[in-house]
Amino acid sequence: MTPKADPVRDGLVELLPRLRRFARTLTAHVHDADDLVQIAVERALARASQWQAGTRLDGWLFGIVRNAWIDEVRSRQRRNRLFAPEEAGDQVGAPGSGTEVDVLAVETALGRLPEEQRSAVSLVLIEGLSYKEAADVMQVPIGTLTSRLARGRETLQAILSEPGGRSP
Amino acid sequence: MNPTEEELGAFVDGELEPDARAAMADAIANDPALAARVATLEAFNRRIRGAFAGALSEPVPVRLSAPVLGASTPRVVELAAARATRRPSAIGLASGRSWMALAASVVVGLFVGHFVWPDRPANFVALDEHGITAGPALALELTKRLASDTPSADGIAVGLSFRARSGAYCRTFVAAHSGVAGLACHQGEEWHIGALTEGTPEPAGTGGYRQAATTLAPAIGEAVAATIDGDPLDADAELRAQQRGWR
Repeated sequence: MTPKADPVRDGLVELLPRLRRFARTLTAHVHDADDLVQIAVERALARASQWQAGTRLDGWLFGIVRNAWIDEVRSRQRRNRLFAPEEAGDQVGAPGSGTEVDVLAVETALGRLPEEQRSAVSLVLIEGLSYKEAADVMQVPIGTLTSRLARGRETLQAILSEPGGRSP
Repeated sequence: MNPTEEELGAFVDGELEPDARAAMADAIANDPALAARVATLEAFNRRIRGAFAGALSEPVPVRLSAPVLGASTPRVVELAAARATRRPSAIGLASGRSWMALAASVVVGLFVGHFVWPDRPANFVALDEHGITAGPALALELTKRLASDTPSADGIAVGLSFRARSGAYCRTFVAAHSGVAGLACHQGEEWHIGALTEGTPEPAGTGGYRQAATTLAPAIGEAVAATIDGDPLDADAELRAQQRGWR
């Protein structure tokens, strides 16, 4: 039950809060995010032997979360249910985490970006990965990452400066 | 120098090569308009990062941490229904997962938070590789307290005591202040939490505690029914079991 010297399992424990945060930026929904992390955790444990020691575990795990999300979006599209009704109450961040209004505004704005730009913004600006690391997670060349990030940043700035964007 | 947003972003993100970085810093120092663009970008980066900062301090639901720790997830019966009710648009992301794991996430995460996050007070329950066990304060109450006692200072009261089919003694409890109700069974030297549910906190006052202790939450009632061997202990049998240390 308690495998020894298992870097993936050990690292996962500490990274769970960040995986949840990353998933939340992708799904814009607290419960969907946790469902996503649960799937990713199962996959990561099942594929633990594929992680290469010396590479960043967080990046590897972010990639698993993101691929699980892409799978989910495709499957929702197949079911023609891409736009599930949102529940505002589930989107509000933790109390005391800055202003909740702004948390909601940013989450909503992120949710309006194409997934590629959303992932780039999340990995670099929120999770603090370098361009190279983020490009590796998304399995794209670094130039593709930088242009997605730039476009995502511009679009987000535009959305958040709208009258309804509740710029602080 | 008139850098693109992409180049300016790379500067703000610390991604320019040293030479390009130095050149950009020079340009910014000599161009207030450029400096203003940088300030806007930096403020934007802080805003995006800050909006999600609170997510890191939230307790991790046990359904996520338990598989990593190799722990089994406790039975929490009623919460799956609560979750489905609250979230009619559930998209079935986790279809195929056991309802127990789903159910456990809702409330147990709250308590595991007491364990995971050191800034919280009492360790009400603790999660380890064997599952969830009562924390020291709760374990003490489960061991010492009789159903007829007045609730403890922190509002913990014990309800039913009974023998499980496994032979272990089990007891239901309520923490009146938080409205938490649960079922714990004595195994080895520990009280293992077999079910946990969120109730309605009882208003402060003497009447509320007795009510809470004697009225079983439906989820806990189901867990008792699934576990119990015969009838609950009466007051005499409860006292004898307590004196024998629930062995």
